[in-house]
Amino acid sequence: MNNKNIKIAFMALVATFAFSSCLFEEDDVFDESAALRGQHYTQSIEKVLYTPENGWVLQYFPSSSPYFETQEVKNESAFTTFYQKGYNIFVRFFNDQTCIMTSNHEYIRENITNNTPGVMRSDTSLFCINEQDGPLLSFNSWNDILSVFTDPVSPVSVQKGIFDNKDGQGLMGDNEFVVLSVSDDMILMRGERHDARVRLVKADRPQAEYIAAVQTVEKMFLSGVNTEYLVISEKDNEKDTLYAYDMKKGLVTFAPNQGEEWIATEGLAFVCGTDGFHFQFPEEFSFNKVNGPGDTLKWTSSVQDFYFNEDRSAFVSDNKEVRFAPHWEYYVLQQFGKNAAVTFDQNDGSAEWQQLCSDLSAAIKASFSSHSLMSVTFGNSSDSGKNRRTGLCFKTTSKITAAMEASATVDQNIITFSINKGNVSASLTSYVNKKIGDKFDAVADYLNGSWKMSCDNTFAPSKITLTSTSDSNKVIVLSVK
Amino acid sequence: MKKIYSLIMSCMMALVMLSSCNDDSFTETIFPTDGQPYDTSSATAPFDKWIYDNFLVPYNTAITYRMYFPASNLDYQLTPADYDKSVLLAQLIKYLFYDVYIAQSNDVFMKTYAPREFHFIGSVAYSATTGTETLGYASGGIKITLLNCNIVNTSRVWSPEDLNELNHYIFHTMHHEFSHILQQTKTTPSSFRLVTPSTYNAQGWQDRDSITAHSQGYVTNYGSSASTEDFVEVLSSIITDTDVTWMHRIINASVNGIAEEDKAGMQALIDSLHIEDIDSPSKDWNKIVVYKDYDTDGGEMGYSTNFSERVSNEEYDHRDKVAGPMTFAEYMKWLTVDSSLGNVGITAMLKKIDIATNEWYVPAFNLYVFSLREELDKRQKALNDFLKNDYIEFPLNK
Repeated sequence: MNNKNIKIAFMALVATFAFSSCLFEEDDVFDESAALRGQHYTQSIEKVLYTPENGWVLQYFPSSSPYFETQEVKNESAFTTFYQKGYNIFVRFFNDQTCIMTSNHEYIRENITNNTPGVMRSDTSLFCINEQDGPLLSFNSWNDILSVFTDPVSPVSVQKGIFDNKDGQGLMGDNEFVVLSVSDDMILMRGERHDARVRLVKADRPQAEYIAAVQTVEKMFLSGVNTEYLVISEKDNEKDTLYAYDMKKGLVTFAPNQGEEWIATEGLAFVCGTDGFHFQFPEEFSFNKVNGPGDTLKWTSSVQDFYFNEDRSAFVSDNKEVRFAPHWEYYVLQQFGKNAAVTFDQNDGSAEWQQLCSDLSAAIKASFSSHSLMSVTFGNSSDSGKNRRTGLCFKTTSKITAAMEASATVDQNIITFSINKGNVSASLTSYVNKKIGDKFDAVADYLNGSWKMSCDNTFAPSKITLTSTSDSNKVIVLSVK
Repeated sequence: MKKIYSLIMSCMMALVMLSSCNDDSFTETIFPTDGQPYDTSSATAPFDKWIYDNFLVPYNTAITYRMYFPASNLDYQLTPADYDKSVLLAQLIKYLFYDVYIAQSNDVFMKTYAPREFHFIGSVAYSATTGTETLGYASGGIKITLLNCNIVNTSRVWSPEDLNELNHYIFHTMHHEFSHILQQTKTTPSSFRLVTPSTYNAQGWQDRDSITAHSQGYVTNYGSSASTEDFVEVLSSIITDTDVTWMHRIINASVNGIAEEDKAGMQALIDSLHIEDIDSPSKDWNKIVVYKDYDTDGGEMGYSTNFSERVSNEEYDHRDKVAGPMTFAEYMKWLTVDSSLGNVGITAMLKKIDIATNEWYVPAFNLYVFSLREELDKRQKALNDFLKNDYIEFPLNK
């Protein structure tokens, strides 16, 4: 080794020595070890779980996928598409690592076997909070309410009461959840395997009351007569609207306008709460604000939770930007195409209307002693063949319905009747021959024109009040089945 | 100067080396130290204590009945085991597995070779791509994962069907996986894999029906996937399969012809298996019907029986009855004896059984597999008494 190399080695050694640490003590940044901190965090979550007197509601979505296809075993061509839905599962946690789950969802096997759909069932099982990359809530023993979503049994077979027909994926559910955030009244989680976003919401009332409240919303929302909803921009009073279909199936599909091709057909899984509903993921609704020709401003609102508005006629997003309103006007219009589904109330509405009905009834009675005016409806007459009319119908006995051709159209909440007094049924002709045709015409004249509609229940309208757009004193009331 | 540099360098190197020394003494463990063998505050504490007393202390075996997701197979959709079913299954493992081996060997055998952990899973692991069900697996020679645990019937009276289902799905799997563990401790004879070396098929075994698998010398179609699987399938089938299953297997494996010495071998196997009521007219193996199978081109595919169908063979077209119904004794006389057939069918099966039992199990563990079968059979016949008198329930009480 020559002198130069020795010098280099010497300098390197000096540098090494100079930089070697002299500090033999470590400052404790944390009060506890990592393992203890993990354990104590877990314990704090457990305490949150045990605390609510009324337990929690697990707003459960099996998977983050909007839908999946499953194949019925032994029938290779039979693919069934399953749209993911959300399910409410009520959970009470106990400090002995047990929990009781309660629900009435469609995959509870006891209900399928006993043909008792919708009956609330409970089951007790085990849970724990594991420490892995983070806290993990694990429902780690079979529970009749939750585990059916994780069992790899063909959902097609399950619906037929066959619970041993394995297909590999089942309903693609999770029973272990990574805890994302914790507060006293909500725990957000992510499904370990299928990445669903689920949350535990503290039950703010006893379970029976909570269940009843949710069922009321579900009944209005999912079991009501409406199938279509309007998604309305609430921002800056712009009323740009999207149409939503198929809420009853537990998924939402949108079209830019009624009757147009859907712009989003993937399921937007949601669950109902006590006063609204909750999407699994924040959903973006895009609206156009038209300021003038060529001046359209597009804007988007990202929303996840909707709550009833003050008069409970619609749901409004928590950011107040989007309204989810039942399209009850369209529902009413649909009833006009059915047989006697819409009845004009002879004894309600303006005095003028009631008098017209009374006069007509008296005239009918005077012409045929065995006849009386039983009802004024909209639909199909009882005549057959070419005499059958669709429109304004006057039922005078149980077998005779006189009718005038008529149609109804709806634009927003305005309904317009167009009644053709010249095209009448044979039954009505016989009344005309008795010189009382003018009484029928008077009723038709009163109804002809445009009316502003309001209803008793936007989710399930049964009583519609019509006020003439040309004369606010003209009021009629109709009921729909 | 060189010497001075060298001296200084030596000193400094010593300093550098010593500078990393520290008289740091051991501090407290960073892990929680209030650990007990089981959580006494848990609703499952009585059951956990039972496991501790009956498995952990004597055999160092843990029973993980709560599904532990990271330790399961993430490739499959799985569901947790039911708690009450796990309680019974753990007791059945002791009664029908541990105590069987202990009765035929001793406590030391199970202390030495017993798996260190059982992991219970509620469902099977089903592969949608191959259509196969995985019923269990052994990991690293220490852990057995048992799938499909939710089939266990928790009533105190079992039917023969309940027992057959448990044997098929749980105990056959358990002995299969335990045999894998034993396989990893003692070298198996290489002669085993040379009996039917050319027909193992790791990818397509599931497409072999029973007549094909048996006539090729395999006790099960899964055994035809690989020689290691074949080896443990021989052992687990001897221990757990019913008389009926074995008789069907023997008949299917021999229907296409046997070697002269196989007749004695078949009788010896039947004797070793302790097949009961071999000549009883009520047994279906005394109503054997033999068919000749034909492919779609009209070519002969060999014989099959009323205990087998070529359900998976796309070439198969139809079959014609050629003999029967006949008793097993008559069948033995009907069989074609042709020693030129080689190592297929019953000839290969008998060889494999002899290698796995007499050449390996006995010298390796001083255990006779057929004795394990006898012990298990005795216990299974008394199972309803066990369920009635000895099975302890540990309810969650909610």
